[in-house]
Amino acid sequence: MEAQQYIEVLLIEDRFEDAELAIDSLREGGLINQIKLLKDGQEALDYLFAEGSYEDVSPGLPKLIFLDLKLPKVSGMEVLKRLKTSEKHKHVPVVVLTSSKEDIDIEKAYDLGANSYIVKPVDFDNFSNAVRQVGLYWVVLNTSPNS
Amino acid sequence: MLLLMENVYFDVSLYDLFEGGTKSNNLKGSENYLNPIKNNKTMNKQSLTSFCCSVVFFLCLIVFIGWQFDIPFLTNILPGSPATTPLTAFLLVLISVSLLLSTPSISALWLKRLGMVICVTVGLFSLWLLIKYLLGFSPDIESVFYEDAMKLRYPVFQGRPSLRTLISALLISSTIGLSFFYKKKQRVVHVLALVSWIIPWLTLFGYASLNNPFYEFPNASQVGMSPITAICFLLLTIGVFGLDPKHGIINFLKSSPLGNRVVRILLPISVFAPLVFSWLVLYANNRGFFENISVISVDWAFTSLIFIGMVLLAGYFITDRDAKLKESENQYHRLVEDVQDYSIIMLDITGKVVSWNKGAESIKGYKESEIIGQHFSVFYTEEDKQANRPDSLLNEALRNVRVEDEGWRLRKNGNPFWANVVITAIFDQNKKHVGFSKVTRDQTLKKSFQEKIEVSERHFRQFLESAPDAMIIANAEGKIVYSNLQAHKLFGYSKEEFLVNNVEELMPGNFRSNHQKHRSEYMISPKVRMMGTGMELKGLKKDGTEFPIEIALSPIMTEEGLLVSAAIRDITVAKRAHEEIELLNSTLEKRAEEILASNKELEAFSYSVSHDLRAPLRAIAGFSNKLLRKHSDNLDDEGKRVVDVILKNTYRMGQLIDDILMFSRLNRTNISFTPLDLQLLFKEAYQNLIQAENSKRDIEFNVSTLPLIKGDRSTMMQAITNLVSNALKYTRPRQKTVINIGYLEKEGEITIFIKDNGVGFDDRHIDKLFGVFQRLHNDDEFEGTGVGLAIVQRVLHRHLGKIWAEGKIDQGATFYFQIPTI
Repeated sequence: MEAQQYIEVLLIEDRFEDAELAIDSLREGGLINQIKLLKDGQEALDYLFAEGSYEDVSPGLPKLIFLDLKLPKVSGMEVLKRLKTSEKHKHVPVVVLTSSKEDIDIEKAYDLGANSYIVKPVDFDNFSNAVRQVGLYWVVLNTSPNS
Repeated sequence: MLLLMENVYFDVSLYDLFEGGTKSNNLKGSENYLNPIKNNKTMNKQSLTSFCCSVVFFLCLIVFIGWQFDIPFLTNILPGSPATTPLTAFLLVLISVSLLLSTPSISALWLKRLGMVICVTVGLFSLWLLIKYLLGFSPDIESVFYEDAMKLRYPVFQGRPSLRTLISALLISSTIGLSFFYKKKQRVVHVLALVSWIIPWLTLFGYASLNNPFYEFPNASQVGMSPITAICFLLLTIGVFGLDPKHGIINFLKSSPLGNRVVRILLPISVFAPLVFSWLVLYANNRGFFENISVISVDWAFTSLIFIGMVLLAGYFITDRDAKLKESENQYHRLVEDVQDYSIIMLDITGKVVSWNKGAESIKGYKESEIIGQHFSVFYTEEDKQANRPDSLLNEALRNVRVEDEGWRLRKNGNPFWANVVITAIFDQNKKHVGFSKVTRDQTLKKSFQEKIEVSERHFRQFLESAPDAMIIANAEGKIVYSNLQAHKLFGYSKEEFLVNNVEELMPGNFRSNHQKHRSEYMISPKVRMMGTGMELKGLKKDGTEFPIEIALSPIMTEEGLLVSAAIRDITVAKRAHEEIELLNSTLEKRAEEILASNKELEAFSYSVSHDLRAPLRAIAGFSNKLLRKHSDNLDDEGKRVVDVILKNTYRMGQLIDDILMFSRLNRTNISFTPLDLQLLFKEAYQNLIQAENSKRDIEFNVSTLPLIKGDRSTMMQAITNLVSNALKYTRPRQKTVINIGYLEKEGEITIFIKDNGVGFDDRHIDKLFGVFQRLHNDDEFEGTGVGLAIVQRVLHRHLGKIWAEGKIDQGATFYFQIPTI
């Protein structure tokens, strides 16, 4: 079953184009078939806390979460806050991946416990490199208490 | 010695009687002795009379007791001397009663009449007994009291009163009767009383002569007046004197200190000394001391001694009194002479100076010896003398007794002084004119003081006239007492019209009634203050127009009472200006709010730009890239070129968005000031840029030591990076790039420059150099968004600095900036 398949990277992103490009970059880095895309904040919370439509599914915790801040229904900041205040989820590394270069957003994200903050550049090469390297770092090199 | 003491004692008790006291205290009496006129108020005027009558009552009571219990001592006193008969005692009592009733303190008419009836009855009865006696009738009614005892002791007289007693009774009752009828002729009464004094007085002398039956005189009567009767008659006579204290002896005692002293001391001596001496002489004679000497000679000798003593005493009293008068007169003279502030001089009837005091000397400057005998016109000015003023003043003083004058007079040295002069005509006892007194005060100081006050008042008025505000002074009733020119101009009234106005007429009707109330309140607690604070006050011109005013009030204390000065200012113009300012302020506030709102919108806008505009760009770039890399097999060269153009423009668009966001963020972010080393910043920026460019250029980068500044690190770093990047960019075509950074100091101002040897710029367009999106070069030559220098300028402005540039095409460019240093 797909649900039981171990998910290494969770990508929470409402923009399909950005998601596709990010997934392309991650795959180029070697992280194949272990990426799950969630389209809004509510879905992300349902999935991570096994609520709503994910009630009966227990996918386990991912190794890394890419989180966009601008999300429909529940904002990325809200999701970040829920994750980092939950005993079970707080050790999951969360990389904020967003278009915003605003200081206020950066500050707030780190305050809430974000592990990295990456501004999505327009330049594809830069974007691709950033996503690939961060993904590799957190998934492959980093040792987390959960693993 | 003993005698003297008795006299003194008698004095005092007699004196006490006048003082109305029942005091027998010696000491008290002595105190009052010093001041006989004092305590008139407490004096009971008839206390002497009452006292005498009381003693008479007491003696008569003793006589009756003597007869009742047959004790001869009480009726005769001296063995062998005649006794006071009961009838005599009875008559004496009646006379005393009538005397008491005749005193002015008895006001009831019926009592007066009773006294009169008793008096007349006693008089007539005595006359009747006297006639009976003289005509040789035997006594009958005379023995009405104790008839048996009378007949037993006096077989012949059977209680008949002696001839002397009857005469005395007749005299004294006539005297008292007269005092009833002749209230205004007390002198007659006193003369009659002195006559009644004679018989009992001689009788007492008779007793004093011991074996000489003088008291039996006239011998024919064969019986004399008893000593008790004599004493009683004397007391009654004294009582008569006491009836009217305003006349006779009592008057001496009271009204004149000298008369009082003479009578009080000499009268008792003259009464008692001969009595005592004649007793002593006769006593000595009886013992045989004067065998060969005439008793009468001795008696006269003593009497003469007494007279001498009394005359000497009287002389001493008068001299003493004179000396005291003289002393007080001297004191008065010295007082007048020593008065310094007043010139007090005497003139004779022609106006020549006859006396001079120290005050005259100090005021007028003449010494006494120089001026005595001169005419007083020397003190007058020439004009006054010619106008005959001195003589006319004397004449006026003579007519009206007193004349007062003020004017300039001359001192000895010729200096004038302002004098206040009072001349009084002096008359002697016979109303003969003897001269003038002239009292002069030097009022020069007062006069000059007055003049100063007048000058200061004039200044005050000038000051008020020149005041820029309308000034009005009003009294407590609100009546205008003074107004200045500005007030006339402001309200349109003339000065004369103003002075009949009340202040209420200068304000519109609706203010008037309240103002009257406020005015009286102000008068209760006057102080300097603005009128009607918080109220919009209005004035009313003569033509009826109203205008806004401001009024400052201040109280002025004057001789005419409390006045209030009001400074009134027309605030029409000020008010209008104030209204305009308020309008402008409110517009400004609205503007500020609008700006604030638009700032917020801008923020939301730029936030949205940073997210939403870049996302599609990213997609375009990302998918174009994917197309190139993954689908390059399906693209020919032209297709690849087109995708490349799309990519380049996408990046450029991204760069533009980033720059514009940064530029707008500069306005919004707060900057914090810390000390910064500009030299380090330049070096750091250069290193970063060189690393990023990653090319092998020949670059000479010189940066000198630069002053420390206070600034925000991140924005300053941005500005400096932009400047260095600019220099590097436009020197790219050069073989060798030279960039010099340093500073100039001129008149304390520090200017930092960054000079390159690049392509420079066309300085005709220098005004566009720092504009947003303004570029002086083509994109083909030099890439750029046209935001970099705009950011530099904005950063410097936020640091209160400024920037400018110099440059020519192909001759390099120099950027200068100033920024507050530490």
